[in-house]
Amino acid sequence: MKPPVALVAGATALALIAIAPAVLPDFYVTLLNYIALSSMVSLGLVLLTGVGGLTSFGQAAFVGLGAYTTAVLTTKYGVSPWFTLAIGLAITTAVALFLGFLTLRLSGHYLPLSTIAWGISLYFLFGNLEVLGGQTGLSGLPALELAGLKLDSGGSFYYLIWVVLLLSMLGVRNLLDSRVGRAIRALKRGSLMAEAFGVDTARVKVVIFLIAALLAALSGWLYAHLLRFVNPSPFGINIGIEYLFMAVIGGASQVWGAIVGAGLLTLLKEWLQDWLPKILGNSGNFEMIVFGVLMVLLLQRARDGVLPMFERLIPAGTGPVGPPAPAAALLNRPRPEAGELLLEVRKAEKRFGGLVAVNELSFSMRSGEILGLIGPNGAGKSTMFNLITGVLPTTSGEIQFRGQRLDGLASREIVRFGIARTFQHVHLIPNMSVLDNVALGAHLRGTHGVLAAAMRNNRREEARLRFEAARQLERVGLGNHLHDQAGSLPLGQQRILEIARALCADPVLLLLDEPGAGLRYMEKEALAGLLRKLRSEGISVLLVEHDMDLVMNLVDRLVVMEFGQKLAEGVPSAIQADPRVLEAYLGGVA
Amino acid sequence: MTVPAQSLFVVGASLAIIVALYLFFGRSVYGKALRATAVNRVGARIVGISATFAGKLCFGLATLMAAVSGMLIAPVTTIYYDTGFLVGLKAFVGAIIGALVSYPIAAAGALLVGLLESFSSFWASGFKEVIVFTLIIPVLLWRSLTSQVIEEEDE
Repeated sequence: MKPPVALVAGATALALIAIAPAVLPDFYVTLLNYIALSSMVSLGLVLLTGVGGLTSFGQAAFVGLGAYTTAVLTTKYGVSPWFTLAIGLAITTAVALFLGFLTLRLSGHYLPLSTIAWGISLYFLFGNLEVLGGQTGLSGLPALELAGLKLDSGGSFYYLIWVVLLLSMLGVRNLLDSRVGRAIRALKRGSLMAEAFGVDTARVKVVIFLIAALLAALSGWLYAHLLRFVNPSPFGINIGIEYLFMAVIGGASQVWGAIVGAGLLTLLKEWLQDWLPKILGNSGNFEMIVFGVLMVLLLQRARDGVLPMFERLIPAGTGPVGPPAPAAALLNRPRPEAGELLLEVRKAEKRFGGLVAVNELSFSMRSGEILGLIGPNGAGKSTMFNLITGVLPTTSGEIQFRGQRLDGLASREIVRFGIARTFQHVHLIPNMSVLDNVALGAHLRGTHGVLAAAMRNNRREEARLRFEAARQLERVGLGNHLHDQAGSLPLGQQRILEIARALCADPVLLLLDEPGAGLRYMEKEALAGLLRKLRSEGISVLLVEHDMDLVMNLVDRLVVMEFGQKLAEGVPSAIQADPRVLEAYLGGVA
Repeated sequence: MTVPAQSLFVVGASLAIIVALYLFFGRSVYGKALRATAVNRVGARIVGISATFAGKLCFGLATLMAAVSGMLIAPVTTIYYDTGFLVGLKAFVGAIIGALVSYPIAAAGALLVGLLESFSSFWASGFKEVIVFTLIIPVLLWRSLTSQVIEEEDE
């Protein structure tokens, strides 16, 4: 449900865009064309950098790919412009996949640096290849024809550009509000959590890189047929940096930031170019100096761009309220018979260099059991969790789940067996709603991909996923916080949210790493009740917990670890009486 | 063959800076503090290293070196207002070859960039920038196949 103010603002903006060519002088129509073309590129960067956290300075090179493909094919071979669009996008796809494969795995500084490198490479290639016309470029591109209409003026081209831009924006916005979108939004927080729920983060990165590259190439194709002339200069690295500026200025985490940033930057540049030489009485590229200063100020004062400032002026809408509409329940995987051998750990070992974090640990777990894994800090409990869920590879030993080997598998494969986990340090996406965070847990229970999401073909599945997420949140007692931002919850509730997210993956085995930390007494009681209920439904629980009252009253059996080794195993009453355990915890009983 | 004095001066200054950096980061307390900050910011702060100061010091050092290299190169080449841009970017290529951690390998990488540029400007002058910046792709491929991806806890 959209607040009416935003609706009115949106409709007004659309109407203004529609009548602009009729009322504005040609100069401004041209400017608006450029703004829309830049917006398309920075829209890709919003997705890639603002949401996905992958910085690229090289987008201008993809614009060039789109522009040069059509320029060469139409002027030298007489190919129809609409056909060259398909070819340009295909070439861009191939180049982006190749570059993405090479560079997207890189962390830290390497990725942005490498985008600069191939950005420059492609730019100089454009300028030096004989067939591309060198520095002079290629001219005489044919005008586009659409339904018998010749688009040979800025005014007639205007509508094509803006329709393409608005459709792209709608597509990206729809994509972000979907199953894949949640995975994209999880990227910025590291891959650990997303992988634990079955997201192939490397693939998602390639996907958003590809989308950003295709948007850039599309913009390049439009640009070439608007000007009907191409040369290398608009595809250089400085322009690539400028596109990134636009995304950052507008507010890189929101789709509309692209248009705001591109608009502000283009208009500002135009005005500064007009006015600065008059004020300073000297001609030159002074606007770049002013830009540099403004950019530093912006990064210091308003890191989220200018869009949040505009939003403050518009009265806040109420946003969605109430639970999502009921939808058909998702299918559950068959639960194993009670008492079936579920998890078997045989002499699992993990070494970090000389440190043996888990030392030949063996234990097994049967279906319908709550098994507690306890031990002093640093005993290796969380490491054991990471071995079972594939976050860390085992050094030696074997881990089996219902007869199948888990060791050696990646965590996104292990979750497919029905093993879901929570984390000792919570891993949430703080600026996403509680409901969306939890729906991420059901990632593997949906199938729709990028295209379906962009075209809103995924609504039925999406409703089912969201309904499931709401159901699990209701179950853990967070039903009143569905639409709150996850980061606004207190830590204890964030841990409960993680349980709901794990339940969304339809687990057979639930691994909980200190779920009780940060909870008050009543909340712990509720947690114990929930876990007992899950057990009665056939979900087994492996629990790491320090609160002994909670553990002793809840678990069926305990495994006690110390210095990576198993110290004792048995029912709670036996463990409580075990002298070795007492010694480990209390340092010897006098 | 005569070697211009300025070239000797450039090589000598580079070697001196490498040795100085090596000593600074290997032997001095400030150098070690900077390395500690790079490895673990929180840990460094807990033992009393100011991360802001470390950042300023590093930035200052890097700027100083860039300025020195500008002074050294000015007498042997033509300087334009944007000369520094491409030189700086080529420096990145060299530094990436050294994985952004090793001075001697970075220096060797920079040497490789320089040689490649000289040779390609002789054989295919128009493509020298293309060749230099494409050099980075096999290097990155090798880096991405050999480097281990370490997931950082964001606490």
